[in-house]
Amino acid sequence: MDNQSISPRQFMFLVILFTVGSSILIVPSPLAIQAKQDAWISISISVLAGLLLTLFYNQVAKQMQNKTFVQATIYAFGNWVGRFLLVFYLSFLFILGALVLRNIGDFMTTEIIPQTPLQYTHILFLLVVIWGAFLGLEVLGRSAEMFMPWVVLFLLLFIFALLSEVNIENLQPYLGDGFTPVFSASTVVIGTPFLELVIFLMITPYVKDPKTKQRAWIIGVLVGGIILTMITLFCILVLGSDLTALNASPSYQVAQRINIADFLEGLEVVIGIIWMLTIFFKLAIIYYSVSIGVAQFLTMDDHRPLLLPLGMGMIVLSIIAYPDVAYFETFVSETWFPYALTHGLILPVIVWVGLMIRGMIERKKNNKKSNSQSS
Amino acid sequence: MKRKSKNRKSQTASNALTPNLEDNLEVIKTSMGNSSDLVIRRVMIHQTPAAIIYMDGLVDNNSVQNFILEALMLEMPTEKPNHNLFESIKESALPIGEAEEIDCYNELFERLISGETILLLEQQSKAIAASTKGWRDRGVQETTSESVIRGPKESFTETMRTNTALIRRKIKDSNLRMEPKKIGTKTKTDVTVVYLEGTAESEVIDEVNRRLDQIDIDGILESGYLEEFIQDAQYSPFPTVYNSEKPDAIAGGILEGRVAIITDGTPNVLLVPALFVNFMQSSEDYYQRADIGTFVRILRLFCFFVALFMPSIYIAFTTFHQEMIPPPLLISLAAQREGVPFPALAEALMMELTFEVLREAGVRLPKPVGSAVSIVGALVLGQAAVQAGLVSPAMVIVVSITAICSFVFPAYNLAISVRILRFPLMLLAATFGLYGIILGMIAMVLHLCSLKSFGKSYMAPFAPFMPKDQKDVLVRFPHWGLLSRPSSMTKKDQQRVDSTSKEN
Repeated sequence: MDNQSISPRQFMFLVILFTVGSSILIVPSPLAIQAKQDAWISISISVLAGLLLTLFYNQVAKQMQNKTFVQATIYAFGNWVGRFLLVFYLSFLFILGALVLRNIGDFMTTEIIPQTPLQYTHILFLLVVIWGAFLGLEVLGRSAEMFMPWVVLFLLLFIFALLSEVNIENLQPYLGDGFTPVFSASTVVIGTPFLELVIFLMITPYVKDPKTKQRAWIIGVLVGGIILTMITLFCILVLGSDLTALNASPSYQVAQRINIADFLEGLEVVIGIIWMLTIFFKLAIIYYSVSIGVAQFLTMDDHRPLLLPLGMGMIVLSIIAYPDVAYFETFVSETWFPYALTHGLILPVIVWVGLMIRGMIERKKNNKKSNSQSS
Repeated sequence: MKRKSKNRKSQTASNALTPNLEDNLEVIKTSMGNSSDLVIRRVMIHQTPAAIIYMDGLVDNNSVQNFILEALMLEMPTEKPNHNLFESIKESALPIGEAEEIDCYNELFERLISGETILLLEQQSKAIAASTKGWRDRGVQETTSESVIRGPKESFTETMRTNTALIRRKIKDSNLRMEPKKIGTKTKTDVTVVYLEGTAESEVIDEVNRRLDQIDIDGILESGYLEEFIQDAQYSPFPTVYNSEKPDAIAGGILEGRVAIITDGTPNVLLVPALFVNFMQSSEDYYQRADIGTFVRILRLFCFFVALFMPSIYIAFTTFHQEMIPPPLLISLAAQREGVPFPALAEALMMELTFEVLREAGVRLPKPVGSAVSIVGALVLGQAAVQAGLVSPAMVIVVSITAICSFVFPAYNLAISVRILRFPLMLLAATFGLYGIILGMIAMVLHLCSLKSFGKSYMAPFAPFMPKDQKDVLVRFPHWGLLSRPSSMTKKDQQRVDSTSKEN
């Protein structure tokens, strides 16, 4: 691959944007369906789980030693078994990409440009994503730095402007139905976005400064998790759990309540732009990882020739992935968690163990060699 | 490469001067094709025939008269035994700063044409070239394209020496280097690379020299020629080479560790590396007080967004997102647009194009006619088009605000790229609404972040983010707080201000 590298700060920004992207739209309503007014508790639990997951991913990244997940798997399990495992990993990333693309398409065609056909929305969005993946990780990291201040600024605006609309009674009663729905709801958020963070195993080798990059990953997940929690909390505080559960994109609907001095209305557009930015970065990271992953899978030197063909596949998959939003809601709340768990936890565990065994074998070999050399 | 080796071959073949004066003169005359401005003055110096050759108009007649003709013909020291006439003239008879010995035609012609006076002697296969350059130039005048309220008003001229002197007068440091170059096989344009040794990064200097040395072209008439050869992004609407005709702006750049390239024959001096933020800053930001400088910079950034996005946002809101406009405003907008037969895009394109045409016409027209155009333009843009029902009044406001905002940038070339980028954004807005605009913006930022100027990231110090450099980007700290040079430009010789220079 091209020798690009990003700084730990850029990496952290990418993690934050990835965590917030698309989850911010799809997470609050399934959470509110299951956990009702306690959705914010279950999301806090999932943030904790996400931090634990990140600690584990950091361990895997340490074992990979400057290889991407694809290279490390092939190294650990050999050409055939390794590639067999990677088919699952790469297909997971690819499907994730298609779903994220569909998220933004659904959001745009329901909320902002209802007359535009879904396909064209997807094509235009993916063209820009391809342009980003073509320019490479360095550029993505830098533009994340460009956009991050705006995201933070508008999130603060969002929170402060909504303070007057907050109704604290919407949170009561706390844990009215006990802990069970809270825990079962938290799996939704663990599935998306935290188990999806496995994708950064493709990115970490390109981050400079190995010491701070682990911290950057954890801080990124923490900040992203806090943003998600805040947004969910505000959805429930302002809209109440019933309305949050009913809306397809409550975090956008809640912004419609913003009204500053009867003059600044319609700020939901600005919020929509921020969601779009985060989703763009999420998809760009996924797309870049998929393309370099496939390129390394096929032992190609350059990932760029793959960008357009992969994109065509992704457009089609994103259209046929699910028939309607109702289907998607059940998909997110029921199917996605086990699917993501298989690829986001079990697969990395297998590779991690494989890498450790491989490392032991190598060490033994070296020992033997040095022994035979010394004797 | 080919041409260079050819040159060398001809040099060895028929290039050396002959001892015979008449032969030499004959060669010079035929090579110049008996040009009318070639002056050959034959004189006798101590009974030795000699000739003084110069190009009329390129030399300073006074110095030829006083320091060459008079010195040789009237004040020549008396003949001493066993002396060499040529040597004694060169050493003691020419009261002129630069006098050099030459022995081949190539060099002779080069010097003759650039305004030096050549002295040829009988029985000598060498000649003396005395620097008597001097021609009519414009003189240092007030800048026309980058005006300031406070700060020096002088601007560069078309003459290289004047320009280098203007910079020297600002930076009186012996480390200020001026490397001469000649570019252009026919024009042989003088180009000088100016930088501060020990402050500018040597990689940048080497890169500038490498790119300039690569150029093989017949003529350089303006620094724009060089800019296109040395810029990093050939296919980008954004400029990656800064140019200015203000000596203080260039001197400021050199002090930041950048490299200036002066081209003979044009007042526009290039400055590299050039980052995006440089195009948004004016040298006046540093002359006004810091708070004013900061305010103006933020204002410019705001104007950048307005100039780029205003028409497209208008189109997107009126065609796609009417629900986002506050109802009272929406009603009045709809009422205005009622009689307009065009979609918002056509309306906007029409008005923007009209404005661009008017602006271009305003630049090209002779001054007396210019005011006529502005009257017609104001009427066309303002009143008549609205009354005729071609455009809505709101569109006129949008176009004029856009236009005024695009005049705010101190750098004309950034204003041009904003003008160009406005049109694709308008098309995106007309097809995809706000969604298209945002995607266009993301693509633009991606492109900006991928640009480099002489190895420096174009969007620095925003991306990659450099906390230390933020003191002089959006916010301008007072001068006593600008402690270090921008590290996005150079990592050498960082200290600028001693922190003890302002103590209360």
